[in-house]
Amino acid sequence: MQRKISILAGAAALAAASVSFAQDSVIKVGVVQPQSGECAQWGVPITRGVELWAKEFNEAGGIKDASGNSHQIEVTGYDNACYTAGEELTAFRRAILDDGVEFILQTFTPASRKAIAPLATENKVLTTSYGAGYLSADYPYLIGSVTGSPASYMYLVSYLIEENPDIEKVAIVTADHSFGEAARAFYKAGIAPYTDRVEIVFSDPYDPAMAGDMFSIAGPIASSEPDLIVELGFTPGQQASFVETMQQLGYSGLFASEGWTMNFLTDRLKADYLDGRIYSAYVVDASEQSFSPRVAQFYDAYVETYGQAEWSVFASVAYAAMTTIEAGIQMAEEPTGEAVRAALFAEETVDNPLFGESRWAGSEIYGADTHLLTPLPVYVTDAEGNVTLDGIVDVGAWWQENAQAALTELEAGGQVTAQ
Amino acid sequence: MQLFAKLDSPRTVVLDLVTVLVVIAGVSVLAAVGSSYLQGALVIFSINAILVISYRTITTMGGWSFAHVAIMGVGGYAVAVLSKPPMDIPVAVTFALGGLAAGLVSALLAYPVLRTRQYYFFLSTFAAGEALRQCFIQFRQLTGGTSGIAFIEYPAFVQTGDTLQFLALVLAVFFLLGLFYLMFDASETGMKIRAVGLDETLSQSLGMNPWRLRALSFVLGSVGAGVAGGLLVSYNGIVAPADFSPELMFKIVAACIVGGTRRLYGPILGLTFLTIVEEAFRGVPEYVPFVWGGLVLAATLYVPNGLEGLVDRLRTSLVRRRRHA
Repeated sequence: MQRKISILAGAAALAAASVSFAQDSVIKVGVVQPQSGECAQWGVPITRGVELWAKEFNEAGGIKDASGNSHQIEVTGYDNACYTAGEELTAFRRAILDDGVEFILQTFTPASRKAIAPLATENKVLTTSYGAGYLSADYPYLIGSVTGSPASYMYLVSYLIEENPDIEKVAIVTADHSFGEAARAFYKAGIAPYTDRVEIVFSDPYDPAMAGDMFSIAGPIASSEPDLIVELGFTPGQQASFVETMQQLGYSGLFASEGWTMNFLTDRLKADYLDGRIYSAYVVDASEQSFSPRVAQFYDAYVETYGQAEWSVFASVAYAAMTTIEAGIQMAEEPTGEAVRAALFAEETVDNPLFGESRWAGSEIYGADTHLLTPLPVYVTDAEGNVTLDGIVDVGAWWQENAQAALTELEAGGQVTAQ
Repeated sequence: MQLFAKLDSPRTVVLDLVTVLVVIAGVSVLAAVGSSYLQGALVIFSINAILVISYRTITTMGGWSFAHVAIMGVGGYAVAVLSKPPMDIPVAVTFALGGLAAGLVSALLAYPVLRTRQYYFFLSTFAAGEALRQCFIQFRQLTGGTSGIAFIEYPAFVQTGDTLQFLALVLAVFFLLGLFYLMFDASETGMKIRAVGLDETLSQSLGMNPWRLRALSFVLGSVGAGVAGGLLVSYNGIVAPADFSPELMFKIVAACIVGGTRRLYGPILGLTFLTIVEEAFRGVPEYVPFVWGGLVLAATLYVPNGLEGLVDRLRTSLVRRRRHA
């Protein structure tokens, strides 16, 4: 009898231990972004976005995998200086080899993605981005979670040309950096289907170190008299300075970028100058409440935690990118990079919690269908400086119609890596 | 040793030699007991150690160049371009070619920049370094532009992904270059260069050719930087312009200020100290530039000869105590 009791006690202890294991199991998520310096204006809100995504689950008892086990999520930020390839790799070494991270959100910067591709794949760490940048069949653990950088630039500029038939001249303003180079090529790809009526009047890259002297950058752009300026590479503060300088130079056309930190703009410019002229399209902007109740809640949580003045669209971009990983964890038997990847790619589509059924694509550009194409909301600023939803691009349909023209530009811009 | 005895104080030469061996032994022990991450960090540390000892060779002629990291980039790009199709030269061979390319570029740069002195030299080398970085960006067909060149391989005799083997290679190169710089420093030419660094006018009046000596020091130091650049891009598997930024240059200069440059062990001490600080603050990277800046300021104000000055002071006080005892 005593033996039976001890066996029962042992079994109970084992069961308790396994339950405790299931509850205490922690999923380690790394966010490799600039955590210091000027580029932290991007990196800090992105890291916060992932932290709030994790907090949402942790406060509800953890995220459940397909086996029904709940897991807490631990998020750690790692510094990559300002998206430099070598620092990205150092950060990945820390995250993977020292801290045992299983999932990483990183930049779309092609050089940075290439730098870490072998390490992430060798260690089966599922590495995603708020876009694609670089993907390859040789590195299946590199994925793109959502329609974001740099593909969104292509869809955004095309959307604006379609919606505004008066646009005849476009200026492309990008930094002389790996991510700027990618943006330039994708902006050109978005304009490519309209070359019969739209001309690129400016596309020289600028040195980010010279962004303090905004007149030297803005002067030649104003001289080219564009109807639309598409931008990528200015930090949020520099963006506002750029718009203000263009206003002083008499520019009265449209502005578009991946996103705008409205606090900076409204501090410097009158609402009537911003009204209907500042466009963005970058995964999703949670400050616009109608697109999805869940991102609206995320916005409220962000503002409650950090204050409205700290809001940045980049937080919601990171949050949205993590929802694809979230779907993968919930479909996988266990929350490892390998199991989650297998679950995500079991079908040709993924039911993303924010965007719904979305298709894996990317083979024509990258040689691998590892980029999840989610619908792309386009936003515009109103007279009060609020971001409002202007339209939603069906990116799959756009690509089917314009792939040939776009691919020619992407190839010329060195962005096509498919063999 | 006879040569050392004739040309320099045997004690300091031995101390430098011991430093090189201690670094190799210390790194080897840490790598043997440490994690994969630590092994990787030691590879980067050892490459940076090559960089600081080569930089110290330049400082002996009396000028602090700000082009060293860009010249390191020349070596890195040489390895990337030459080891990839259509050249396909074995990676191990390209390391030497990278060093030579860096030496060649620095020889070309030497003509204009070595005509300047003090802060003009600092400014002209800074400008030269930025010009080189712009070349990495603008000559896209060759360099891959801002995205650089990716998927550079390890040398054939190092197994891909084997960090320990790569570390052994870096330490071997560190030993050879360390020995070379040590012997050069202790040679008659090395002593003349140091004399020029101390007083150029006096050296000239004694029949020395300061420009030639300074150029030699600049070129030989740059060769080491080029080799370090080649090792770095092979280990990282990628070369991109942003990796040869003024921030890394500041780290090298800071290592030399904090550690001192009179002897070979000074910059290595400085680099070790800064690396430990960097690792200690990795959870709060935003504080690292602040701490480094503070350390450089503190070293400039309170320890003018850096940590090596502190070591010398300690040694002197120990000797005095022994004598009194």
